[in-house]
Amino acid sequence: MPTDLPRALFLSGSPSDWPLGDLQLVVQRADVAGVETLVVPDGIAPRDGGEAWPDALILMGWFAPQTRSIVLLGAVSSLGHQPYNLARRLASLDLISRGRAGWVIADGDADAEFAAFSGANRLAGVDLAARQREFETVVDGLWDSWDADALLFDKEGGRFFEPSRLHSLNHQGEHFSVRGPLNVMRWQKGRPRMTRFDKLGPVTTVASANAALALLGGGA
Amino acid sequence: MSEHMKLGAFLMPTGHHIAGWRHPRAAADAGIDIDHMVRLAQTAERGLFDLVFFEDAAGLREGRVDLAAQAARSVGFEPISLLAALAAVTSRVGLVATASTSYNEPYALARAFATVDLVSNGRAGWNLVTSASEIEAANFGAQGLRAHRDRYARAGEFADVVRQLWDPATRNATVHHRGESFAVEQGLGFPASPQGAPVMVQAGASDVGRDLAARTADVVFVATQTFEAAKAFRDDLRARTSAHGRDPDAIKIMPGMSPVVVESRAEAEDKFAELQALIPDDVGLALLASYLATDALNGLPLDGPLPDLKSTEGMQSRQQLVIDQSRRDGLSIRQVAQHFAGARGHWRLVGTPSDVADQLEEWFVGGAADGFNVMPAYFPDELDIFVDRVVPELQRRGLFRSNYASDTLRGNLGLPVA
Repeated sequence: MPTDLPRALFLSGSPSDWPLGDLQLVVQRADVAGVETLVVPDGIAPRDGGEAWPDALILMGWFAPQTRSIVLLGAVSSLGHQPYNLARRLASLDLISRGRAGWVIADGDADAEFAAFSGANRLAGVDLAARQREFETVVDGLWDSWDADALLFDKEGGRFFEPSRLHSLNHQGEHFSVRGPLNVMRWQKGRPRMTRFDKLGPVTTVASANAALALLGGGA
Repeated sequence: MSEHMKLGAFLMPTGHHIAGWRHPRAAADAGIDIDHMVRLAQTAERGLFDLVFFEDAAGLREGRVDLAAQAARSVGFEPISLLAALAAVTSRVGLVATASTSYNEPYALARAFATVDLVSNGRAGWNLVTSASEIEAANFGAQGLRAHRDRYARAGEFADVVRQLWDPATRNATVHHRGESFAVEQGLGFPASPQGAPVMVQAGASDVGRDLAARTADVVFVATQTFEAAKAFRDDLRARTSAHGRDPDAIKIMPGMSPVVVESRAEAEDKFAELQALIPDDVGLALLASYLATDALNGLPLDGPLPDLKSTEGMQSRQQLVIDQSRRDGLSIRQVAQHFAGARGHWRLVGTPSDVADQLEEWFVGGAADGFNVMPAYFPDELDIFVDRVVPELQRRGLFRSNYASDTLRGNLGLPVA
């Protein structure tokens, strides 16, 4: 094992420098080597066409059964998402990975995101910073839909969950109106991480699969 | 008719029977246990199924929490992230999930499914739904449920954008779309899978739903309970597909089928009655009211007949199916509720492996189906018994494959690469 093992790896650079098989190998080796955190980028294609990363949250779902302990974070912008859907997908990823999933709140390429996500229809004139703050409040609130002890599984009594331990959100805001509750149970020991790049601590950026494999001390 | 029938395993955490989770052998915690879902997908792959399928709702399925608390439908995995995980632990079975055109952006959805397609080496499929529930609408803004026709107009535009984004010939080029609901000036920008593009699945059976399927779908799921109805549906959809200039063999019609497989016919009634007895009256009634998208059943005597119901903005075609059957068989509200709670409006087949194979053979050979979407009452046992007992019987009769013919979902379904 290399002595200068990175604590957290941020995958970066051109998508063509990350062929899928090599990407898979990097993630598996990072997990085995004891890297604590993997940050997966979610860059969509530039507005004028060209290369893009596949969907970070879907890659995380694919990585989860292939790894044991590494924390899987997606650096995802909220502009193409609705808070209910993003909260659900992250909660689901947290279950799939047994408590290892999370969201690094990222700013994407706003021009590209407007062009991809019907920005002309949905986002024109919207205060994006205020939208982002409200988005996070809703996601955070939806993750409290279920108390940790809400599910009873009482077959004899016909009681699957305890109604008083399920909570609607009833959020009515400037940008979103979300009744809730979420229909994904929380991971028993917590909830998905929600953080920002500047809160991650030391992060090693790797610009290609080859560079990552070299860093992790193994050839391709 | 193709040489072999197609089979889908319609997986739900705890089973298709509303009370299936209460069965002593059911895995009640499946909605939070990824290992259970992995096992089900691997069982389907062991049985050489074409695909596993997951439905979806972006909200609770039952608005009354006291009723929801008696069923197991309020928690589960978000299906596209679940497909991604299953892609890592299976290698041949197709991976199909439902997602709504009402509460997503086409670029985001196209990108998510294209990523599943990439990591699964060409095994992904998207089941398009337009979402008919007020409960879901309340999680996405205050405007409420859109009218049926408006939802389908948006769905048609949505499907067109997604298909352009998936087009393997132009994956790095910019799609130019400006329409009523969406404005997209962008390409996906990452490679297509070996099957070219994910498989398009639909289940809407209304007139506008059928036309959208005939224009855009590769696979159609449908709830039909008689050979005649299934045959009429398939004939109609094939004719509509031809009218859109497509080869009718390029659309596969797969009715839902809820099997209760027993070793001898003497067991059949007991095994089914055991499940039915687990349905609480109020839960069955609520499920029926939800399918009928009505609150007109409140306070009516359970032993009386269904009242006359007006057409709703919800699931129009399914509502008619329920009403037709209750009139045909002279059923009380409780009987209809229990009947539909058991199979969720789909075709129920109770019998030995040979009985079940007889019926599937009749529908398949008679041109009423290209295959079936199998909906076990509870998991894992009822999928195991289908794979271990019914699949070999179908193989013995030459009705089902003995090996996967292809590595991709399109390949196994007998569809051309996109």
